[in-house]
Amino acid sequence: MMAELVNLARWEWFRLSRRVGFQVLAGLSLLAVLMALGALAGLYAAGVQLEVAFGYFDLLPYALGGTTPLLAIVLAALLNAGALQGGHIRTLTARGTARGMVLAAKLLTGGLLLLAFHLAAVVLAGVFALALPPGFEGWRDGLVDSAAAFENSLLYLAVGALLAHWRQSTAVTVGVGITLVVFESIAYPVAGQLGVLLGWPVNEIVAWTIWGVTRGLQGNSEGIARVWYVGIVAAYAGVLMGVAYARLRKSDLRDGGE
Amino acid sequence: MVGRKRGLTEVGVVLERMGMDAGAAVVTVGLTRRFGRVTALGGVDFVLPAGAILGLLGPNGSGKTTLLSILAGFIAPTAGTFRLLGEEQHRRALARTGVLISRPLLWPHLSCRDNLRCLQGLHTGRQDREEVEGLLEEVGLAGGGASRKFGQCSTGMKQRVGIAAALLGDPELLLLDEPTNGLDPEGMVEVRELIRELGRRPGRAIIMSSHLLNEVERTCDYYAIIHRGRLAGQGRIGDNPAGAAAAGPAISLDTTDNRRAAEHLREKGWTVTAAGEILTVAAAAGTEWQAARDLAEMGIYPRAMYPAADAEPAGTLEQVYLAAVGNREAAE
Repeated sequence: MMAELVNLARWEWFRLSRRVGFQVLAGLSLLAVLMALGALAGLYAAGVQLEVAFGYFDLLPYALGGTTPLLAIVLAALLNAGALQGGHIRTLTARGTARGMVLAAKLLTGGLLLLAFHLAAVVLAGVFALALPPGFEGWRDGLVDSAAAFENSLLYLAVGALLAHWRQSTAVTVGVGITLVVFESIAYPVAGQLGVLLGWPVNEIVAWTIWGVTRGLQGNSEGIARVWYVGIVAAYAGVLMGVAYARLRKSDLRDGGE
Repeated sequence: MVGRKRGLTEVGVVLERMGMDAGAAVVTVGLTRRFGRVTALGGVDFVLPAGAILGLLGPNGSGKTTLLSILAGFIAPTAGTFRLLGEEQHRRALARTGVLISRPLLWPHLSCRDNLRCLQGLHTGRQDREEVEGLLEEVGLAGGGASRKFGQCSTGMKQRVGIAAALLGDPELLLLDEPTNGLDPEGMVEVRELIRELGRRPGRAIIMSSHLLNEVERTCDYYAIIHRGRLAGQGRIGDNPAGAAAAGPAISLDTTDNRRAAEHLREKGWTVTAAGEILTVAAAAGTEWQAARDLAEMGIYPRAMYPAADAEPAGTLEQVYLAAVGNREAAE
């Protein structure tokens, strides 16, 4: 079963890596990280101490946190919605491959790509870290925040898969997914401020959004210990993928021209 | 859909009645599919022996693609059951089945060769360059055409790549939905010959849908006519002395109520002629039991049932087709 999953994921990568859309997407995402690191270098060149720049501005996790949810949504659309809308899901299951296995392979491929992207970004940041003075500890927070950004992107990958299986449309998956990412990224800080100003716990509500639980994973929640958030995030991902699978299992597989 | 266990038992009963072994390529019992209020397929029963080529005939929208899509696992039946290649597990049978339904659904940004490599790797977990090149040659795409991106290919080329994809892994059953669609006349002849050639592999069965009667007549061993979601006729091609297709052997029936029997059999899609007290029913060898079963549903029982020794051939496939479709329309 594992061998079948890995084989399916391998051929997902074969097809995806040859798509111009994916190549452009990967390039743009890497560019965003390079720009963040470039800004870091610029600050250093301008006389800002590197440990201050690295620690205070938190540029790498910020760049990852802003980029990878969008990357995850578009990846989910390319991997899932494209196959459903174009009817290629029929080709994938034609020789008796279980639908759940196809979905799992798509999620595995997307997850591994996101991991590779985060690792590449962290390695690039490490090059800067080599120049830091001995004893500088800020990189630890940077790594933890980057790991949280990775989990956050995995959740959005699952959200994208669910949207893809719900509407079977690339445009809807990308449109609704990106709207959700942008809305959450704005709603979370705004609600926090509103909570303080109004004395009304709006921030407690948004703490349960995808953005919110990932912030909890970073240790920014006051009520629940960080370790619990690992389970909470896993539960979110499990529910999202479970619903996507239930939808796929029941659906008629269209040929894309119907 | 009926319960899995019960459904398989029904398939077993049908095979036993027909004296066929459990290795029949395809057996369907009461296969039904409804889309909302529309019944696309309304209780189709048929058996395809191993190694035979069946032409599935019917007007556009008659239910041919729905039937093939159910067999391929793309859509689920609302009721009824079926068995492929004698396997109790549908997925295991599909691993030995090649499918080309509606149109080839391959990846437009990959070359024809890479599409086949990808499918071979996906479905078999192995890489066999010789098989891919051999299939490309078999469908007439060796050379430069194989390197062209699938999305940039003509409809005919796409159809050929789709057939090659269906042939990967040397499947024992092929489900082909209008495989000559989009091909020029020369290409249609080539694909017809290819299908006949494919059917020569011992034990390989093919179901090929088409709305082209001459195509089925020239390519297939058996035909089945689907009209408005129901099986309106079936038989063996090639028994006609004129060289054209015949409806197959006929049986003579004397029943407890011949008038109602004729009406009911026509409703069920049989070609029936009444002469005096005797009904003559066009029925392919091995399907006679179905006529009796259809009658039993109405509480009508045969008093006598025997081969119609001097039965006239039912005519060309075109005549059979028009009679079957006409019978059903008259009944409705």
